[in-house]
Amino acid sequence: MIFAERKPIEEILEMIRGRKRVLLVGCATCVAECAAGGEEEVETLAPLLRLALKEKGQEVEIVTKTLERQCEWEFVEELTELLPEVDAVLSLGCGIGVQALAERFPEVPVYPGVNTSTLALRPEAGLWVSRCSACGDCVLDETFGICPVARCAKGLMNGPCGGTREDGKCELDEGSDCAWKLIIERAEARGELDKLKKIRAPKDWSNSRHGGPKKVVREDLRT
Amino acid sequence: MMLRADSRLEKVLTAGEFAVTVEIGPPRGPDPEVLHKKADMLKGMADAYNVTDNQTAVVRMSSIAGSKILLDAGLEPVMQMTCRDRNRIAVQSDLLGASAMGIRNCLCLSGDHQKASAAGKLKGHPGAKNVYDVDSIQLISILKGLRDDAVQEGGDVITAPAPFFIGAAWTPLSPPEKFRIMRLEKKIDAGADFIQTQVVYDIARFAEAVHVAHDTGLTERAAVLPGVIVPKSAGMLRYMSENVAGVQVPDELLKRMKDAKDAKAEGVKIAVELVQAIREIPGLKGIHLQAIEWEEILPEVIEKAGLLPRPRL
Amino acid sequence: MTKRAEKPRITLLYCRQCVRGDAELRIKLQQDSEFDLRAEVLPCSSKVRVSQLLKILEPGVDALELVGCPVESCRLLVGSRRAEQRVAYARGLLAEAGVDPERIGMSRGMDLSADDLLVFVRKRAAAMSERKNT
Repeated sequence: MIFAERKPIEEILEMIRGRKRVLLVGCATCVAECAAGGEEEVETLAPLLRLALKEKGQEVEIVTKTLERQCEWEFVEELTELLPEVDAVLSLGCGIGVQALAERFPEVPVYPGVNTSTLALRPEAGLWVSRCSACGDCVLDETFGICPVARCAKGLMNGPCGGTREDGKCELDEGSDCAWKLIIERAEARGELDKLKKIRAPKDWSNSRHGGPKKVVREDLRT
Repeated sequence: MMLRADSRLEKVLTAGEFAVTVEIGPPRGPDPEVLHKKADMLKGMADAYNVTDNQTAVVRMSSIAGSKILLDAGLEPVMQMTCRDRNRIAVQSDLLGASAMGIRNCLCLSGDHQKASAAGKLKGHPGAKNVYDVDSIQLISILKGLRDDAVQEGGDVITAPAPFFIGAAWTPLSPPEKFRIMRLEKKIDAGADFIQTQVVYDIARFAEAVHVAHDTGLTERAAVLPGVIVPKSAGMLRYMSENVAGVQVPDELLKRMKDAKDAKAEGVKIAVELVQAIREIPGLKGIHLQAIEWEEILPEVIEKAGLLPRPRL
Repeated sequence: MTKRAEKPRITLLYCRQCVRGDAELRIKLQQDSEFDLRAEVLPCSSKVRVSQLLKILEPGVDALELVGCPVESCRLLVGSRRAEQRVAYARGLLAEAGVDPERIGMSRGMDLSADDLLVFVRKRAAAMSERKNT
């Protein structure tokens, strides 16, 4: 899922400083799966912000709503009736959601309550690991299903650097396996280690954000 | 045999001499005097002098500038280049510039991630955007293209070939060990002419790895120069053993450093022994000596190891 | 100007599995005059959610004490450990928000009486005011 984490409370308080009535909007899809912006997090953050402001002798009215998805207009529309009298929107949606709200409701400031940082897998409860960095040029067929762009800090394409520790972990992060060690193990298990001899040419990054902001049109799907 | 880059290092190796390279760290500031002093101290001690490229991602005077300063001081540099900070455009541009200034050796490295820069007392730049547009093997290919085909990575030609004696690194003892030989082969296939290895303390294990490289003919296709770092203290040796990937230190050496009355003298002794042991291993063509923040000890080690005088060409 | 001492407003959430004689217990708790006390029973302490803890505190409750079974004897296996993790997380949120984390806490026990629960409540009140005074 798109992965995000709640911003520090201090930062959020600074954003809504001086506001009298804030609409706190959650999203029940990706950010809910990351326990950062779903209904539970919205219903936790609202009282927390009120408590924090009370501590500072301030008061703010917080109205809450969690949408199914903030990246679809049909759900965003549900906020229309709540907008009047609100002087700021605090969105716990990912960067897409925040911008969708900002685009639909340009009359109010829309603040981001979370930091969106990667595309992750949740292998078990309470654990998220980065798996994709949207490079736009997927090579997973050649790397035995393990992505060296997302899982190798240096994005190496031709094998591991000298930084693989004795225990197979990356020298940069003792908790993480060296991605290339994992790729090599898979290749060996399949008897295809020789495939890794091929010298892979430099990647074409132009289909990712490196090529500029993307805009994609599919004529067959336009009405 | 046609020389590829006409560098002194290349000539020494081609002549069949046991080559010596040493590492010089550029200063964390703009003062060329620091390098002049090191150059004066080390002149005549080695065949070529590696200038590091923002090692551990700590900002230092650039490798290209440091290399030029050494060149002007009469020393032949090995410009180290990492993939961390430069995309392929900057890489090729810097290579053309380096070549224009007379730099003929380049060691291609992946480069330490910028997380490493915020270690110990340093703040570094852990928040920097990293590049890694290409990896070290692709970088080797890029140098080969500029030298042998006078062509850029993207396909455009350059006005004249840029001759480089191309170097690469090898860490034979990092897992997965079986792949390390494949990785060495890939680097040589991509165009590496010489190899400088991660620091060696465990001669026995290193010799095993070299043996495999030798058997597969790799040591004849590229000149392998093992790395030796002169131990300064027991603490330093232990730190490297525990924290630096691919470095294995036999207990015996740790003990010697710990028990030594004069740790520095013992370190010199160990370094000399390592050089001598390395010379016994078939297939190795030289040595890459380093002394971290202690370059002044290198002349003594080189002399005691019987590596002086350097060949006159 | 002296402020008239107000009774601390405390909410007690206790797990049904760890008390004895729930009915009499509730009556005894209601009779307590030391605190402005509100008691709620949970089928298991693990049922509690972080949002719930904060929602209880926010409207003007001074402190909240959650009481659950000892770790080894939670009838629903990991229930009371999960509760503890959530309480710890809630305390962390309070601290991050500049609010006294001692306003939420958890205690454990088995076969507890109303008096036992009141001991926990007293400790919670004391921990909270200690922070206030430092």
